[in-house]
Amino acid sequence: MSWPLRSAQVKRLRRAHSVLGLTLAGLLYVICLSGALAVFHEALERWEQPQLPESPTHSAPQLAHAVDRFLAETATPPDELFVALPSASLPRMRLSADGHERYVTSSGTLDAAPADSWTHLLVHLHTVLLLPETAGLIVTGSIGALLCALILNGLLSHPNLVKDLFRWRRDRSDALHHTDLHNRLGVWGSPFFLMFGLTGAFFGLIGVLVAAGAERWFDGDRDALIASVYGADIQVVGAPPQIDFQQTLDEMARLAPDATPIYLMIHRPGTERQFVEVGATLPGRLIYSEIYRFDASGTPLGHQGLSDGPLARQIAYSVYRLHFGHFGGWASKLLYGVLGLALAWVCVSGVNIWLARRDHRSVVNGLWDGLVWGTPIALAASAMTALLEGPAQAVLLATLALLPAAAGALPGRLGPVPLRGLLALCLVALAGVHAWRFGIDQPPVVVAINGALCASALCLTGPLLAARHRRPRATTALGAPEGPAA
Amino acid sequence: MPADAVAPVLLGAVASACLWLAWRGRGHGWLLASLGCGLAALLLWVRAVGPEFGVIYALGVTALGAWALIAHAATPARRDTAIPTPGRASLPTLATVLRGLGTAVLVGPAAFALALVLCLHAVYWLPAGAAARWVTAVFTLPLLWAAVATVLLCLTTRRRAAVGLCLATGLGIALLPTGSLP
Repeated sequence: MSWPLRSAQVKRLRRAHSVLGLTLAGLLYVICLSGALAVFHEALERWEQPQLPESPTHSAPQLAHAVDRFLAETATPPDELFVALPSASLPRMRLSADGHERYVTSSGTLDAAPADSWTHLLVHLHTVLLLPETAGLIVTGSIGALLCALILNGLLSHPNLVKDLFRWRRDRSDALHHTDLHNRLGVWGSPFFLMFGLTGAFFGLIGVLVAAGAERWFDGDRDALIASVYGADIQVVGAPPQIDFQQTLDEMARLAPDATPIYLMIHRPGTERQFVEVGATLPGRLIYSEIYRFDASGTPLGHQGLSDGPLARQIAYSVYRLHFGHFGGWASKLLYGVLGLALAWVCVSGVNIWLARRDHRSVVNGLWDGLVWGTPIALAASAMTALLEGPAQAVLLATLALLPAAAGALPGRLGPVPLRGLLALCLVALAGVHAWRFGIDQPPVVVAINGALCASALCLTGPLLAARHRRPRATTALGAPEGPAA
Repeated sequence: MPADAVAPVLLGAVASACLWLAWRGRGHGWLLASLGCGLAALLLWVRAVGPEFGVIYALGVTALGAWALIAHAATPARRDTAIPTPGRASLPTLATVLRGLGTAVLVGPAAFALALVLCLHAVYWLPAGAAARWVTAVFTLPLLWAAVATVLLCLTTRRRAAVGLCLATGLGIALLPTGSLP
């Protein structure tokens, strides 16, 4: 390929972009929208179970008491016991092992089990599209890789990138309106969108590469391959029966005073081979955590080297926070939420360009409207069902199937305007159901989420009310005007 | 985010605004001012929250600032009545469907297989530590797949490309060393 690209090459790249984009748009939109919401999964967990007691601190007696009680509850001692420590964003201690989970009160007694919640459903929708784990990861990882392809051929097929850098011609044809929106959002967001694609592909496709590599060079032993990247586990013998949590936490504070412990992993608890790993975030670092190891008496056994080991290991361990924006409190989460919504909007406007350039309407217009508006409606409906302890996943899937079908079958009656109204209604109803179920005297994060639901509903209905004073017109998904090129 | 993030946020916004003015044809001085403000914002971000978070915030604020300017400077939306076009059923032909499926297989699994084999070769032959080999391969895999998919989609006829892709993948698998990693 020569540079600058010839117009025939640009045309081919545009066609490639169009074919790939139209093929992936639906799934990519669902992944982006659910991902933009999943950024706030800790806040959503708190919103979903607001009645649980919260405390941002933890103590050694609380840990010891909780671990003893939890182990007494389990029929067989687990291989690993995970203790999620309370944090500023999720001030709840949680113990889990072998699929058994319990929250912990500040005194160390075990509280309710985490709900099989809507938040988990949302995260599953984003990470595996509700498919079986392995297949889902491969599908979403592949979509991440093909998102990279879309960004690559999208940028290459845009020779007027600088000339159009700030242009949004809303007064011209509908195709141009959507094209400008698509290109401006896409170009300025491209570093982040590329990062989302790459890191998403990392989560999804690493399993395939590991499986192939382990089969070829590690006699099928995937753990050995992973250990060669992240470092191997250690072996401990002759450990005392009781873990000295006080000594462990004191040593941790002495070893890494700037680190913030976020979890404990107790390996082979209750046996003479038990030891403790403390995962801790480091200030200014994207790595998920550094892992500090202690024997049962609290003596340090070294750390994994995730923060100061080989650079590649540090990069690999930074992928999670880089993808989900969990590194800088509310600021990074809001930034990532906006970027996720922007990418969802890029998907929608991309298909809208194609729809606006066609010389006719067909069932595809309705299906697309149904998917675009149906996805948030399905999420809101399933959240309501989860709050009422109903089958949230079934409601989500049924709504996701029925609304596009209905919008496709009834293009005149179930267009973007009624769907937009329905979404506003669902959001207000969701806040209402939450207030009815848990009351209105709630922590600030819960009030903020319910407020955001009502504010979003207002934003959605505002243009609809304004439109009542104008003449009716055809619209495309997102409520933008549609029709033949002016 | 600490309170000293106010200055880099403002500088980032100013950088976007200067770039906008340069784009509007107000002279190259604004472009230089934009670069200067952007660089200063980046440095302040790095000082406030470290290089890893700083680069992300600097890029993020620039994107948000640019989008805000684009929305602000957009021409007003059309208010005329669009003419609804009549519905028309148009089903794709069998040949179109088959061609589409062929393209999907070629761009999807076939291109992925080639990228995977090439990345496994990279793992074996890269002169670096184990972590560097695998992590390079994991990040190269989607980029390679993206590049191959783009090239394939740009071709007008893909029959020869399909044959070439299969041959390259087969050859890659055959030449992939066994045993253990060096």
